[in-house]
Amino acid sequence: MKDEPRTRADKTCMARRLSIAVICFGFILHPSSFILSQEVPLVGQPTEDFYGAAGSGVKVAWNVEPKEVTEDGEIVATLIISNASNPTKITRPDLKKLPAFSDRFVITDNADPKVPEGATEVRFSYRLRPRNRQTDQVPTLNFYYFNPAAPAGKQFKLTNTGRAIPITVTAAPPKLPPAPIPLAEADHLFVIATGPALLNRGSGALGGWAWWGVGLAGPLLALGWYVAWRRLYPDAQRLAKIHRSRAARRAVDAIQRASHAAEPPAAIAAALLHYLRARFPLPLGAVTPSEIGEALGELGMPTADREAVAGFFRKCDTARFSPSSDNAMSLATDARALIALLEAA
Amino acid sequence: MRVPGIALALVLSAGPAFASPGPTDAEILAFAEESFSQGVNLRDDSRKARSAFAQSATGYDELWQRGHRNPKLALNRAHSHRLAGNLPAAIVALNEGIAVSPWNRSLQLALEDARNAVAYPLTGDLVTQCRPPATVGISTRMSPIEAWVIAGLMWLLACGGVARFAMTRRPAWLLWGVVCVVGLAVLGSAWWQDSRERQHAKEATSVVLAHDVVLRKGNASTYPARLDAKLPRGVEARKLVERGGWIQLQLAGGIVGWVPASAVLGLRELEEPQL
Repeated sequence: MKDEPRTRADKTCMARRLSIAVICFGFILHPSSFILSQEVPLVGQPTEDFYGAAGSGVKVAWNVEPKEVTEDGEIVATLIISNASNPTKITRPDLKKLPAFSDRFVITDNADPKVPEGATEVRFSYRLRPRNRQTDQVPTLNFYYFNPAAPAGKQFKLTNTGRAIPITVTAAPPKLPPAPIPLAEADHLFVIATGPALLNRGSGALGGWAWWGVGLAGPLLALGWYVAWRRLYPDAQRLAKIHRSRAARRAVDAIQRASHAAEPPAAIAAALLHYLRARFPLPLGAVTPSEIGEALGELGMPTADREAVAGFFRKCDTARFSPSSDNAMSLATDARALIALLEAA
Repeated sequence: MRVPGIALALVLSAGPAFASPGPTDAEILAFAEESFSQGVNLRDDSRKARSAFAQSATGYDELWQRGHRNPKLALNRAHSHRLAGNLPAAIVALNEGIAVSPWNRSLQLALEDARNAVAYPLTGDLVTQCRPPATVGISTRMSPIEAWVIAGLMWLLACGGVARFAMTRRPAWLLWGVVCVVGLAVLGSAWWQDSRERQHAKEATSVVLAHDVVLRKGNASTYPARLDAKLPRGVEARKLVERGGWIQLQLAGGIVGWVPASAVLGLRELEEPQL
């Protein structure tokens, strides 16, 4: 008996649960369920000017600063979207794709801060540079939003930023030339040669004539010098010949050095005697003038030459022992002349 | 007669082989010197100064093309190009001047200075690979006139020694003459050897890079780079072959690679210095 009412209560509970499930299922299937979850339905969504805003009485407005700008300047236009229930899901309108804006301005998006949770409005900031001086306004921006409270089919509503905001574009100020930069090069580069010498065609090279000239000049000058020397110093020429004899050359050298000897006449006499012994086989005992003369006579020397040799040795003896006799220089000259005479014989 | 600077500049900018009758050599020289002077006066404004120096360089280039090839003009060309900001053209001008007057010390120093101005990377050994060694030879140390004076003097002394020997019959004079002749022979052989080396160097065409460029392993931009770093403008190299708008180069360090033909400035036909 007690089981019957329990079963009835169970059935009532079951029916209640079922009805709740059906209601819940139907609620889920109904489009308005998207409304409550703040999802904007794709069905009926505008293809343009819709940026995902949802809410009731969404408003948009431009805030433009400054209103007057130079031709090469920029204004900052801030789009303010308020009363949206989903501010974090609103996408930034791309003004570059809107001819009304892109024809008037060079558009640069500013980096906006992230919209915080619970915010009541969203701001999108743009830098707009007028393309020319004819640009006179920031145009109206159409803005669709989704109103979940509106009847089905009229939930996407269009609003806008109101009237276009007039702006004034003035002429760009004259550009100041960039500050001149000095030429930082070494000072010596700023110095150059000037004058007609720069038009020379030669590099400083010499022609063949210069080499031929100097080649011929050497022998000709040497020959000229030799001829002149022969004419100016005929004795010297003869003296030069005696240098062909080694004994004569040594004797002349000894005579030349005799001036520095302690007793020049003795040195000159010794040099001549040494020469005679080298040239002629004089006996070792022939040391006095007369002995030398006799020895040379025995060897066949002409009397005049023999007498000249003996006379020279007498002069030397006189010079050695007589203070008033010939000096060493005249003896040396006589000795060289005597050697030249004997060499020529 | 003075030629208006602008007119002359227009004529010169038309190209090196302008129609005859054009401005005379003296007029071009006056124009170049005036432009250089303007550049010096505008030294505090590099943009204007470089423009004036570029005009001056154009004038000096024209004179060089007309055959006024002397060391002073080569140095003026180099200075004008360098001050105009065209370092590669300055290096070309100096190389051409040295080819004409290798003994000129001013040109040698200016070339060394210009090579120092090439912007090699601070790291790596690119500078050792690219920098050509300084050419040292008797022709870089002695001008033909100096050689002529020295050789002539030695020859005269040799002849004088022989003459003196004939007069005095002293062997020392003959020895002196022989020493002078030997000195002459040494000098002559040094010149001969130097001439051979220069002739050998002349057989290889030298080029200068006009701008920074990547040295590649092949004659196309698809080939990988031969070196990690770009070759800076002003680098001198030997041209080996040219194929398909590309030039094969050999750097001073021996590395071989390819660069676009448009990236190099070629030295003009160089003149062999005459003794």
